[in-house]
Amino acid sequence: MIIKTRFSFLLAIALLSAEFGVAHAQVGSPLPKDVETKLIATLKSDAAFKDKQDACRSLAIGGTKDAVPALAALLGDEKLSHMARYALEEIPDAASKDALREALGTVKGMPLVGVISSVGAEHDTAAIATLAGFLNGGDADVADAAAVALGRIGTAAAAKVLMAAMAKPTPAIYDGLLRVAESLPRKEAAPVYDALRKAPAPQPIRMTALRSAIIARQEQGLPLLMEALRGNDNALTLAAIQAARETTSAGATKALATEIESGKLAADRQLLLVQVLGTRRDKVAAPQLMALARKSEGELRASAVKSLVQIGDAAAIPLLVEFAAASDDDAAKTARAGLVGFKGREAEAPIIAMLQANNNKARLVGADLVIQRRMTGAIPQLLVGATNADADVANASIRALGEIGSNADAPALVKILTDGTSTQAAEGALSAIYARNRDASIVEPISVALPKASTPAKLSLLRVLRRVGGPQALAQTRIAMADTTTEVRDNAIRNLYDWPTPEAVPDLIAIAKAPPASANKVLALRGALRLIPLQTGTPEQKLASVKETLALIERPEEKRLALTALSGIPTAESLALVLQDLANPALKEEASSAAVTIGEQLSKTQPAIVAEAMTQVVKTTGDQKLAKRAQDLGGQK
Amino acid sequence: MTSEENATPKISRRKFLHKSFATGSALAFPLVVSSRVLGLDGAVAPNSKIILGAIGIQHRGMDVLGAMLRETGMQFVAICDIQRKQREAIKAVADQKYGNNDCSTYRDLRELLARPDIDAVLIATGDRWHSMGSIYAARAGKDVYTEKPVGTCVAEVQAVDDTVRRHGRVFQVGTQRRSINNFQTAVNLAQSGKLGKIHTLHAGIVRPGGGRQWLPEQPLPPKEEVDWDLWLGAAPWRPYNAGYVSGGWRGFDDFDSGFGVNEWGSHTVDLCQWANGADDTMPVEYWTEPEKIVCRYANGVKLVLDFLKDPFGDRSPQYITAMGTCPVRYEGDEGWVETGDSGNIEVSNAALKSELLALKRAGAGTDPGTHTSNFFQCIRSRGLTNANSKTMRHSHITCHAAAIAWKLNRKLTFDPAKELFVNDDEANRMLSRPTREPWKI
Repeated sequence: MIIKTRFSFLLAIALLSAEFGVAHAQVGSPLPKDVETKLIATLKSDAAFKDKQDACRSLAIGGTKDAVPALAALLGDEKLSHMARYALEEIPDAASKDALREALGTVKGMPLVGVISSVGAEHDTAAIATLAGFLNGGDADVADAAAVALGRIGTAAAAKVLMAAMAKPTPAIYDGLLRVAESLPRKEAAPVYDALRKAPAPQPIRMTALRSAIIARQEQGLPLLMEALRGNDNALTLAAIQAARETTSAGATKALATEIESGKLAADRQLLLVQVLGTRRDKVAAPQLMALARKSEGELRASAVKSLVQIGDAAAIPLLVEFAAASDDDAAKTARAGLVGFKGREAEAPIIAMLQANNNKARLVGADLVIQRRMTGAIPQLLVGATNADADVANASIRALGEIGSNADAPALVKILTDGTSTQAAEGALSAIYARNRDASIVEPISVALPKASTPAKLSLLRVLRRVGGPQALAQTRIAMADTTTEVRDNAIRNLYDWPTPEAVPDLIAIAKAPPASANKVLALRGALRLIPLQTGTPEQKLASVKETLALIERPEEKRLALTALSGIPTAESLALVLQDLANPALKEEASSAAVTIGEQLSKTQPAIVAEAMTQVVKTTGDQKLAKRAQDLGGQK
Repeated sequence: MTSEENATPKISRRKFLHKSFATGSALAFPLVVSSRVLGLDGAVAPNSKIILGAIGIQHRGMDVLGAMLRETGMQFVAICDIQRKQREAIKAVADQKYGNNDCSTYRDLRELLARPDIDAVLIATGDRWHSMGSIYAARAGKDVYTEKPVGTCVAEVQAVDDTVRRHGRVFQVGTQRRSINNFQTAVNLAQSGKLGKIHTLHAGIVRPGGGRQWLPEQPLPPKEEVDWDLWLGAAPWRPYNAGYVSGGWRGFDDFDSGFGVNEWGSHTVDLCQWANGADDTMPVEYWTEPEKIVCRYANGVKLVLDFLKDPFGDRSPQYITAMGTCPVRYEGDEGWVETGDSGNIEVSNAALKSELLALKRAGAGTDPGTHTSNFFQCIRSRGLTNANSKTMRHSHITCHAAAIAWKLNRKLTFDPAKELFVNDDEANRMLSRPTREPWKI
């Protein structure tokens, strides 16, 4: 199987050996032998640095032990030592490791620093004694590299060497010890961390050593953790806090929670510990945190509530419900957010119970929580709340019905609307249900209620119909336009001006032709012209509608709307109509624009007509870009 | 404190570093815990200022440093850059802000890191220094905010996470979208189950590329003006060309990360990892398809890295262009959500739209403000940042693994526990790049 890769190094290989344009007979296989041979030859030659560098890169990906001698010979080369290591570290053969170790005794200066790093990367335990010798040499860079390499090797023997070097510590010794300790069994690591935390080391080293000493000891580290938590050294307290967050000790949560319960910690430390208990997400701490939340106040209480939310113990739900409805402080807000995000359904029954509580605050908060959790199971309780004597509770319940309800809830909302107590809220809820679900059958209960509704209720229902649009809603609106009450008739007509769907075009044109006393001819015309482009009929049918309006238009403002409507009708007749306005100084630019738009749609089928029209446009318009478009359609200057 | 301008010439750098570290003064570490002192309400105790240094600040770095300078309770005291003009430019910004001449300048980051008074550093160099700078800073006991991507290879990513955790440092990678609410909202939707069972995650990325070519050699400038050796850092040596230093280093394998996959992938793949609840793992299979790299998690969820034909312009058809740069899209069997740097979110249906009602208007996805605030809060509480080293490790290695699959142009299987490809020596030999001396991970 030949696999093409995107390696540019293949190009380099190709330069070395023209017969190789693709490579690798198998997945992950070494380089073809003759390619490797040529790359090795490049390393041994007086080729340019770049060529040798590229050879090393290619050997890093596909070289074998055969390349090791040539690469090892470059380890002492100031310029190429790095690239030799670049390949040697990647060749998975003991010969590479041997070559790097042997170079420890031969290379000097910066190349030696690099070789030491590679020996560390290879985890070469056979090199520990040699590396130990470098720790006390005169070259600080070499000593630093040896300390880091010993840390990477990570054995007890390496740890012993580094511990001995603590007599004259350096940053690299500290780092090496921290690193080596990670690889040791916990029992062996703890004394290393102890040595570091007790050393006259910089504060960050002592902090992380303390943290690691606590974590390494597991249960036995808890007394050390508590000592630092209670101690006077703020830096070590923060290290203990970090350890408290990270330790996997089985008893840590209980111990920390007990410390909270004791009340012995200073307030600032207590607050940090409460936050830590939240991040541990261990239910063991829930009782102490609940107790603390009840007896504390302010920020500490809010933090305790937040931690309970993070832990997610259902046992805390009653407390969250209680706090959520108790006030509007941070603890209450945190409790509400916790109830909204509480995973699973265990929070839902308590939230529904809030809707039935005796205090209105709980009902209001409950309605909001129902919305945010999208709890359709609470609809029966919301319907009850919607008729509550308290207007705030009723309105909040109705709003919630609008946010999560469906058309099945529309009859109840229509009834609430027509009953007259919460008309505005119910109108909003019906509109919200339609906006979310886009199901026009919501018109049905409205149609049933309209004839017997009071005037204010009728006006409200008509506004809902106007938002819904469509033929059923329009039919009801038409009936209302003949209502015995003037206010209802006038409102029904006004609703048509903003009707969202094109079925209303004939009605609007009819109003424009013979406006009733209260009607506005201009608004009717504008409404019709807005809806004509939305009509689904043939271009000829749309054109007929526009022509009806043209006969009624008296002002340039509406004429411009008509031109816009015509621009969407690609017929020769609409083009001719548009051209009539080229001579009108007030409309010539809009007419030109409409003509070009029509022309672009019509040019393939009626090029001659379009070209002639475009010539008129070119001569009329002052818009250079428009003129160019017209010329592109055959218009002549 | 010593700066390159006023260093005592008789003490060598090595001696200076060892001396300053060994005698490192015990910092007055304030136990700062209340929200007032944590800076949550803008108030800070008088003695609890975090002392900050910065390394390699240019355009993006200035965005981040600017956000940090707006923080209360922080004092910026030192800039390190291998270019003199940049050192001076950033010093001027700091000195103007504080009305003094106190900002120290350094050419070599090791000297800045040796200052015991500095608590934290911002690293905003090119990619090749993000990992090495973070490692050296963590070893020196500094908390680290570094720009992404971290690590030009998998081994460097691992070393950053290991070192940061070993030294107990607070670490934030500059994948600031983790701290921006439209991205958080989209992740919440994915994790809430409201999209149904998640089956595909889409991450927009810049088309991969790169190579081993060199720019033509130019005369080496004086070290004080541009320290070319330090600019290269741990990368293989090559001759100087001003083009690299002025920002034209992208597209060169030695300096880029994951053949360019990590450039946006460190953001968008990271967000997908988060949405999938996969912060502690990685996909197990990687393969290429036309204009994309596809990955599969052990639970069957697909992660698709889409190559955008015009990342900064038309992002169709894979994404809604209006969502902006760094787009992500999470698809479940009941709906989808898509967002990007514009702050807008689009969802598949009206029911999901209602989930967005509470979403506060998001800022631009490139704004680092909330992310840097999170960093400073965690410095004080020693808490985990939003984009900590562990989550960074998994998302960045995912990008690298995808990039290697693209480079080899074949399907690869990956073991997330061992962080190795399965039965593929060639791919595994691409996971690390030995560092140039004296730099070591």
